[in-house]
Amino acid sequence: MSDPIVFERVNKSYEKPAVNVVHDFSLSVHPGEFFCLAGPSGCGKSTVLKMIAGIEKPSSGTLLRPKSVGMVFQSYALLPWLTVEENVAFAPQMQNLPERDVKEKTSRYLAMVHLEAFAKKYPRELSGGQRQRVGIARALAVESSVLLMDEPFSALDPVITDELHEDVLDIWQATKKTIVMVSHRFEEAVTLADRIGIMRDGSLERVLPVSLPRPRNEDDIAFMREVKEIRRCLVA
Amino acid sequence: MVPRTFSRCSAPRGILWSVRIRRLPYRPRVLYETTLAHHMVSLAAAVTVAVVLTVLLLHFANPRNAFDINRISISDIVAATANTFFRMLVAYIGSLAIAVPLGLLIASTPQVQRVLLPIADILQSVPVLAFFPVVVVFFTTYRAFEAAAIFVIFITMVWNIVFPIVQGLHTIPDDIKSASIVFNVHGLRKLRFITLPAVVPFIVVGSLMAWAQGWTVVIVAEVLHTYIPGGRMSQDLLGLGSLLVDSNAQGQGSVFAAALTAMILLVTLINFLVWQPLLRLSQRYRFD
Repeated sequence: MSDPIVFERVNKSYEKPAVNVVHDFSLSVHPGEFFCLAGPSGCGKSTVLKMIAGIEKPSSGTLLRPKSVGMVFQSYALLPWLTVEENVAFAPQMQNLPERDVKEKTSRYLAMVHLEAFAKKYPRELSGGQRQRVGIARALAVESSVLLMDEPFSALDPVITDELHEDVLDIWQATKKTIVMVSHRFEEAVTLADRIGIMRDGSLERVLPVSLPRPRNEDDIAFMREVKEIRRCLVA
Repeated sequence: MVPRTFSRCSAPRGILWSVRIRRLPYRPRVLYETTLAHHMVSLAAAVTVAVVLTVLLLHFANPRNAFDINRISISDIVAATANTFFRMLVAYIGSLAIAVPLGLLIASTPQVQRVLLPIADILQSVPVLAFFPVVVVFFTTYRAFEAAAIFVIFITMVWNIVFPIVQGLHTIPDDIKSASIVFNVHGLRKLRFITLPAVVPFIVVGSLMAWAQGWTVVIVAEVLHTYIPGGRMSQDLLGLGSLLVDSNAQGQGSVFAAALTAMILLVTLINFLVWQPLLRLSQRYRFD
């Protein structure tokens, strides 16, 4: 059973410079759902994700978050001096697991992202898509019930992004994890998410359920209607 | 029967011990294959380094510093080269031991940096030769001539390593810092697995600059008589620096040429055997 994620009237502000990044934010993410936070750049969605990850603390309000999470970063955040398998092994190793378990998890998650052949390569030797696969494998190796993704595909080309969308959906369906993803691409949010939280100026404007069956096709009229609905929320 | 094999560490722990015997519970896989030739070359290299260091250590434990500039033999040139190298090495090890924690301390918080960085900047900008006479007077009171020379080289080297480390710590990407929180990497583990590897390229570049500065200063650091009130040439330390200065003063052209050649050879050897491989290796530690 996934750990719950519940925000109740959470605010996040910084003192220097004085900015109120997130205000009066209330949200409950259901266990096992694929939730996407969408909105324009600078609207506070990454800050919300960082609060779930424990990287940032709320200034006020109540936040119920899981003890440990796996997280995928926009810039991959791989350690360049470690090989692919050492990067994936890093997360379970930091949990002080026995070496045997670390090895087993590393092999399993490298296989899940189809990178067994690249185990001995360094991140520098990989393409952007492959690097992000390593990032996903490392986040999965934490084996938390919650996976956070901070604009994981924004630096990748559309073909690779489509491939990774399929992989992430497969992984989500296989692992039954709760996924919270941040994206500024509305099409991406509609392709992947069960529900989309639309943020503007630090506030949650609306939570939009996406009832389209998977796999979702961007050319479908229903798909385009969902995307238009998000845009309308932000313009209104 | 649990199979045993030589394997290269697959985990970050392997940074420190690249090859070790490990038990593989199942699906044994040789990750790093070695041949007999590998082992023989490694053994030969290890024995050579051990012998050279032992000879240098024994020599430096009781350095031969008495010399007559008008009667310099080949063995004097060799002894001077060994002395100078060891002075540089001891000063460098001391600089590294101080610079790494100092760099980490300076960059630890913005508040600490606001206080310590200007102080370090002022100390760095004071020319070492300005307080060399004071240093020499202090150390000669205790007849610690070697310590005087090493201290001056150390003072010259240390800042060249501190500032690149501080700069390197600021280049660690925010996402890496966030990842360390998410993956529960704190304290000493963060230092070992993230912070220190991240500043490796900066330590290497800083060390290279430190040695370059050290070579400049060693020439004057060994000529102690210049800084001791009423000093004599016999108070100088035997080294390439003192041979260069004293032979030039006494018109000993052949000694000057021999000392200069030895210094160029030593600098070139260190560059090829140490700095070039380290610079290449440090590229792996750079963030894109």
